[in-house]
This record gives sequence, structure tokens and C-alpha cells, in this order.
Amino acid sequence: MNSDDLISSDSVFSKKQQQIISAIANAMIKKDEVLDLPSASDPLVMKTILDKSAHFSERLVAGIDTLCEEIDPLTSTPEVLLGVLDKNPKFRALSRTLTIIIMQSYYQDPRVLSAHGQSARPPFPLGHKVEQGDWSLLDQVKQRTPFYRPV
Amino acid sequence: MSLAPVDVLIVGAGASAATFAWSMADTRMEILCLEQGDWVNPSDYPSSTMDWESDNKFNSNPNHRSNAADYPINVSESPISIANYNGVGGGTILFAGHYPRFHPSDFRVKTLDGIAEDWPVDYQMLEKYYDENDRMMGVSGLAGDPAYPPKEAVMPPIPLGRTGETLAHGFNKLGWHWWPSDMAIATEQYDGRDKCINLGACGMGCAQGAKASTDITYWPHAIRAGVKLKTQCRVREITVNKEGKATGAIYYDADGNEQFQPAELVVMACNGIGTPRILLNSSSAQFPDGLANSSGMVGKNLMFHPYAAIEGIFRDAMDGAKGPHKCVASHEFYETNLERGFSRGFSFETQRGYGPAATALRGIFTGRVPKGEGHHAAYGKMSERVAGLVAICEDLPELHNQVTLDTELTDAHGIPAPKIQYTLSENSQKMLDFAVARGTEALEAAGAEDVIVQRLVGNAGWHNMGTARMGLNPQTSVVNEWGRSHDVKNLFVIDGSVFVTSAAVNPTRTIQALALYIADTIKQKLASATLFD
Repeated sequence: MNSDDLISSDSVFSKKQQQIISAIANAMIKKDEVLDLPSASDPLVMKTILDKSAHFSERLVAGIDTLCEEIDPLTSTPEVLLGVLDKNPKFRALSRTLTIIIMQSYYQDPRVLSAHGQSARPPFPLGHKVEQGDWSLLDQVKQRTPFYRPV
Repeated sequence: MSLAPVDVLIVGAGASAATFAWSMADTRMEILCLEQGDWVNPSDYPSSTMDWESDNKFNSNPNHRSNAADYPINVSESPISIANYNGVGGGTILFAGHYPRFHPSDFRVKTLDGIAEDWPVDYQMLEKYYDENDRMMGVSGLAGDPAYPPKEAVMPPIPLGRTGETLAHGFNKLGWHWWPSDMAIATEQYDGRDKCINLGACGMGCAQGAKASTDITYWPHAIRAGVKLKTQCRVREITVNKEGKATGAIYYDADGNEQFQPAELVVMACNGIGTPRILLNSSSAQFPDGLANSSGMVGKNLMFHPYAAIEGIFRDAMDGAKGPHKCVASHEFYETNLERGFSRGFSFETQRGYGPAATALRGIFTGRVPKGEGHHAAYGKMSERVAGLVAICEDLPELHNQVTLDTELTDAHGIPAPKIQYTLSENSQKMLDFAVARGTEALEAAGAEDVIVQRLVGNAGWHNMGTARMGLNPQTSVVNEWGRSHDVKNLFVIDGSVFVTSAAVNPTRTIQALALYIADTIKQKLASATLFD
């Protein structure tokens, strides 16, 4: 997959900024062929990431600019990139914001949810089955005398 | 521009406003409610999309959400940030529907424990209003809870599920109290609402209509009875005449035009942050420190509920994000026992489980799930295996915890924004520590293999109370025992601002019972021509 495939020309982020976000996403969640799980830089996941990132574009762009003063995110290894993001206090806010966006985007992808045996559809309109559970467990509490404080 | 006058003007359209408006509708007075947000179309709730966990339009933090209806809140001097929703239904749009009553002792804190203040009302006075509100909201639960005086349930309880059953085993092992939670969630078809189908997205709005947000409970009834509700109207200030009587409100309409709405009675229902904000913004030559503030108590005594989250990772699958977030609660540590090292107490609510993204983020931010190598395997061990408790601790009123007006920050209309100044008391610190230790015990007794502790949940400022408190003494309270301002005889406050103490449970059911009580008192005093005495 060519990273250019996921670059959207109408994004609030420049092509380079999109590539950097993609590199960070790939560093956070790698592809796993055994489990049949995509990387977070997968084009469909990246589309969601970029859509979500737009709301926070100002702070993300500022953070990415500062990051580029420290390292070249596009030539750094994933380990170096994550190390700088997570260990340098200067990038704490950027790292936290991107972590939230990337996880929220990745874990709504039906392929990811299916691979983990989770429901790969929106909750509505079908809902879910929840077992009633064993109500006899309450018998022990029902024996207790009222204990609210008298006034 | 001045509009035709109304008899009653309600500011805000959340839980208290809807309840009050419905009750007042039978007076046949001209009642108008102004709401800065809009109606929410249930088809817009994110539970019908894959983005149901994280759609930012329904983020509970207004500073992050930044919808057009929202105003910014400066929380830089508070460890707890504000959670709310601005729209018809207010906070009930996003609340979990956990719906306990206060205990009788909550209204007598000074008498029983020698701290804070007693309320000028009590459980017995409010009981019939609790009952009436339960029928209007449609409360599910189970009668017979030994932690409470007898109360009926309108509908059967929500299912225990695997999570409730697991935690119940833990509580039983320790011999602690637990009981199925009273929930503002319909478990049967009720009053035109469909029953819960366990969407698990309660905190982002209920597309099924099973959760009793007041846009689908009280408001349709109130509007059918003649109450008018205008949305996208942001009130800037309450005006007064030279006699010191409220005359109405200045607001900005949907087109940004300034309007003046005259009214005979003005009722504030903007929650514990919005109400003091507007009162403080309504200063004048007569009321230089803000309206209804001769006591200096407007904005003071802000109470949250400090929350601790204690979560277990279990070997077997829990309910995950299926079903209402809450299922059972324990009030074992609710009442004061000074041997614990603090006054008052807390309740435990269960957290049934988490969705896929929330699970991943919990794992990452607590060091259980790495980024990069090993991520997938570690996530797999947590997926649908996390369940836990939150301890909701009683906060006590302190003058230095307050809402003021920010000197620089404003909303989109240029109205000064609120600023929160809040510190955790020593009592709360000790209570949080004790709650974390007991919660850990409970989860281990339930079979948790690992326990995650968040001693103070920062984004949990849902319950904003005490900032225009009620009382008999005009020097120490803002409104009297039925919500009327001591200073301005036709101005009322009906939201959580009037709380004297915070109890250790979610406040919405008590806010609504109080709104019914205040409305009933106003109607009685109107009938006897004593409303302004």
C-alpha cells in the first residue's frame, strides 16, 4: 500500500503532516498477519484518523511542527518515534491527543473488531443480549435489616 | 427588542426545567423556556454508527465538544473538569441513567455529624415528589433495598449480566450490601418509549429512547399542556426594575440578535455552573455583586462528587459495552463511621464494562497495553474482560470552592465565561483512599486478576451543586426553602445550585423531586396570594 493512496487533498493537514500522522499511527499499532489485523496506518483507518484529527488541527499542527524540530518523523524508526513522543515531556500533549484519536479510530474498524471476536456493527438498532444473571445472589442481602441512618 | 410578556420565564431546558415546566403547566399561565442549545434528534446519536464511542459532538466535556450551544469553562484551577450537555434535556442527554435517591440522613448532615448545614427540607417532605417523578421518568429497580426507606419500583430492574453477577459474588463474599441500581431506563415499553435493548451507548445519548432524558419524558407532556420552549436562545442577564424585582431576561436569539423577554416570574435552571454564571453576569447598581447575592453565596460552596475508579481485569468475559453502564450499587460505606477517618461516606456504582476503544485507551494509559510490539496480544487480554466500580464520594461545602466570572474568557456572544476554583478537602482525600482500598478488596473477592486504580477521575464534574444554596438564613443562603431568592421575590432557582450538601449519589432524581416540590409550593402560594410575601 502506497502511503500516497491515503492522502486527501482536501484535508486540513498538509501532505507531509498526513504522512507524519500515518507514521505515528503505524508505530503505535503495527499490522499483524497472523491475527489478520491491519496497521493503524491502513488507508481506511487513516481516513477516520484524519477526519477526527481535523477538530484538533491547530494543536496537532503545532505539535507536529515542534516534533520535526527534534527528529525527522518520516525517516525515524517506529521505536525512536514512539520513544520521543512518549518520553519527552515536550510532546506529552501531542502524544496523548494522537493516542486517543488513533485508538478511537482503529477500534471502530469492523475488521479489527471481528478479529477480536467483538461485535462489528453499530449498537443500534439491533442492540445486544445481556443475561439476566443469578438473582438468587441477592437472597443474602435481602436478609439484612434496614441500615439507613435514622433522622 | 421587547417581546410579549410571559407569566413564567424558565432559563435552561434540562432536568429541573422540564420537571418544573410540566408541573406548572396546569396553572394555565403563559410559560416560556429559553434554551441555549437545541433539540437533539435521536437519529443523530452516534450509536447507529461505528463511531459510537467517540463522536466528539457528544463529548461530555464542553471545552472539547465546542458545539455552537456550548460556552467555555475555565477549569485551570480545578483538578476536576466540568461535564455537561447544552440542549433540550441538558445533562440527561448524556447521563448514564443511574438514578438513586438521597438517603434521609443526607438532609441532616449538621444535626447528625456536626458539619456543613442541614437542608431546610427533608426526605419525608420530598418523598411524594420522588414518587411522582419516578412515574414520570419511568424508573426501573427492585423494591426492598435495606439501605433505604421503603420505595416502589415502576419497572423491573435491568439485567445483572455477567458483570453484575461477578461483582455480586465479590460483595457477598465480603458480606457487604449491594442492590440492583435504580435506573432511569425503561425495561418495558413505557409512556411511548421503547424498552432498553442494551445498546451500551447510554453516555452518548439513547437512540432507542429507553433512557429517560427529559426531552422525551417531561418535555413532550409539558409542551402538549401549553408550555412554550424556544431553542438557540442564550440568556445574557436577568434584568430588574427599581423596586428590585426581576423583569425578564436579555438573550441572543438564533440569529444573534439581542432580545428582551419580559416576565412576571423568572426561574433559573442552568445547573450549578450556568446559574451562578448568569446571576453574577446580572450585576447592576442595585445588585453590584451579582443578582440575588446579598449573602455573597452565589457561586460559593461548589460541590462535585470526587470519583475514584477501581477496575478489575478478569479471566472470563464480562459484559463489555453491552447493556447500561451501571447495574448494581453498594451503599455499605454510605453513612458516617468516624473510625474510617473521615465524615460522611460514599457509594459504589458498577462499571459494567467498556467498549473497544475505551478498553485500549485504559490499557495504554495504565501501562497494561503497549504501543507497538505486543499491542495486539495485550489488548486481547483486556478486551471485554474489564469491569469495575466507581466510588462516588460525598463532597462538603467550602467557601473557597467556587464559580466566578473569568476576566478574559467569553463565549461566542461575548458573555463572560465561568471560572472554577476547586481543591479537594482533606476529608475527601481520606475518603478516596479508603474507597480505593475497599474497591480493590471487592474486585479481588470477585476474582479480578489485576486491579487498575484511578484515585481521582478528572473528567467527572457531572454533578455541580451548592452554588446558590437554599436555607432559612438570608445571610448564608441564596434562596429560601422553596427556591425563591431571598433578595428578589420573583426570582427562583430550581437546579442543583440549591443543594445544601451533596450526598454520595447521583443528584438528578433529587433535583427533579425538588423541582416538583418548588413548583407545588409556588402553586399553593399563588392560590393563597402569598407568593411574594
